[in-house]
Amino acid sequence: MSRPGRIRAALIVAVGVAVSSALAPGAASAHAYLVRTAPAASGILNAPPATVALSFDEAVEPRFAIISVTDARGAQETTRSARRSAADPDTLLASLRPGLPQGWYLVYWRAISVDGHPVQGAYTYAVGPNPGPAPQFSVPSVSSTAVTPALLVTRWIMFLSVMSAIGLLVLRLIIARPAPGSLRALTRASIAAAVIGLIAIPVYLDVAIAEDSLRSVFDLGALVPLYRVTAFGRGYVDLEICFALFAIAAGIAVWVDRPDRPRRSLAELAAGTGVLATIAAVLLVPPSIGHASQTSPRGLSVAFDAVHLLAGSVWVGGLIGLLVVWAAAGPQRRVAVLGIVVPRFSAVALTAVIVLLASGTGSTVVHMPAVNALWDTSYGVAILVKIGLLTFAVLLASGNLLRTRPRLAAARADPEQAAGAARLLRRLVGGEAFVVAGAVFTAAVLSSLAPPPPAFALADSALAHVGPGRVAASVTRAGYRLQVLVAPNKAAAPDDFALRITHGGVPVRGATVTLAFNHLQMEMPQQNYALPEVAPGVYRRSAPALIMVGPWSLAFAIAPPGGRPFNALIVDQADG
Amino acid sequence: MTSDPGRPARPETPPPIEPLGSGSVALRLLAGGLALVAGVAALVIAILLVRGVLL
Repeated sequence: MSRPGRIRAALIVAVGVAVSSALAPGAASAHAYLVRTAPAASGILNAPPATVALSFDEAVEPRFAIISVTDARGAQETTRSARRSAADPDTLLASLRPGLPQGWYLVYWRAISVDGHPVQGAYTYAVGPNPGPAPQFSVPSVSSTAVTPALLVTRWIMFLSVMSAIGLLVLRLIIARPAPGSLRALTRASIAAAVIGLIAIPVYLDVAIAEDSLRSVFDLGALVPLYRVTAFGRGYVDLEICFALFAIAAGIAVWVDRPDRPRRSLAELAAGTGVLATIAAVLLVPPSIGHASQTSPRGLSVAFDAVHLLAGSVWVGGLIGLLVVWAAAGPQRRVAVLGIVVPRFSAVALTAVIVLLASGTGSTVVHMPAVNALWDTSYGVAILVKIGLLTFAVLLASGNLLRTRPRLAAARADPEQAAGAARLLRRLVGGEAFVVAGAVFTAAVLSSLAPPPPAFALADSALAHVGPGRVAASVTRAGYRLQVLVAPNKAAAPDDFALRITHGGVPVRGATVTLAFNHLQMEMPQQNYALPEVAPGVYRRSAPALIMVGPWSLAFAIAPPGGRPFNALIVDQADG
Repeated sequence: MTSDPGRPARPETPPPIEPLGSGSVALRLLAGGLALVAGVAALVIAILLVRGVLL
């Protein structure tokens, strides 16, 4: 098989393995959300409760959960940390001090979903019979994020080192050989990247678990037992195992490899196949524990991410490898060595960039529910920044392809041009590697953010954007005038939802009105409530439907008697 | 040994055995097999993760 043929075959095997295994059905996970509370939100009790119970749609780990209950002065009223209910594994309990006085209490909760993302919320209840007026609690921030500087930096180092180790090895074992001289410098760089990766994965896991469980990163006695508690933690432990197997297979492949021989021995072929299998495994793990595993169609989404990672690894590792070769070869042999390696890498890098762009585009299409999500959500903005950086890197790469490669070829015939060609190569490749490393950082940010849910697309058809605070808005739809009232428009509290329908100034009586709720930034099941008619043309219901703060789509499905049914959608910003 | 007139004469001395590089052939084959086993093990872990068995 020819050189390009071998490279193609190797890439096809890795991609094929990724796609075939990714297309297999599997479990999907999502964010945990609160489905029931006891005491009820904004409820008034006649006697103080012994516990606060929060029921979620999935089993959440109590060791990562916080339930805080404070009175109007901010005094903590819980007696111990959150625990799982013996009767219901999806319910967390917090015990309260006995005999709490009358008054209003604030419940603040924070839990970790199975995918590792924190979710938070708050609500109030009162102990009566005369709790008095509801005080103004200072509600803790209820925005949830998995993006902190420490997490981002460790995640970036992890991605960069793992991708570099893979790319450097591909350069060393496939692209650069057969080589006239030693490839020891590339071997050393691969080992260094693999060692950093082997350290970076557990460090990232430790920082993430420490962040989630609100402990110090050095509290290893408490953190290590938590590593495999969540799906997120188990995934990263498995990534470490797969990457360690990659390091072993890579070490063996380099040891048995004789780069001066064009034909490979049986041992080299076996070791090479083992390396490719471990690469496929390592690249499959992050998508299968990240957002890709929660995005439909799941198989396609995981495959896009795995192929994207493979192409990125070949590119970034190859660029670092060229710099290593440049530094290790010395001024005398530099042009001779680079004159062989650079043209080979350029051809592979071009393919890698095309695959990177194609898989990135596919992934964006799968994740983005609407085009405007690209500039209206932080996830979309991160994608645009990444695209910008990669475009800049492609421009630098084209400089290498169009200018450096011919100059290196010319320098072999005319040694006087050698120094200039090598200098240009170092500048362009160094700049390209720097920009691609920046793109990897953006990818680390991107994979830390939650992609907009499919409901985001609903916002584009909204008749009005309302909130935060009490809502009283009028819109016109299908010849009907609709007056919408939401009060007090608070998250995790029973809100009043009312709709007055008039047609030509006359109240529309006897209509069937259903109100559907979708959070526009989080994946949650849609909630539907029928709004009964409470006065001529007025349809109203009180419901704790706005579970979390943030933008909600309120979709009214209206079937007037004798008229054509129609929908009216408004986007409401609910506050904490 | 008589020479076959239709064929080129065999060389007087056999070609030198190529150096084996690091380790013996058996050791290298064993190492290659070990790398293959590592690859299969990693793939099994990854496929179980993708299918949600290990999550």
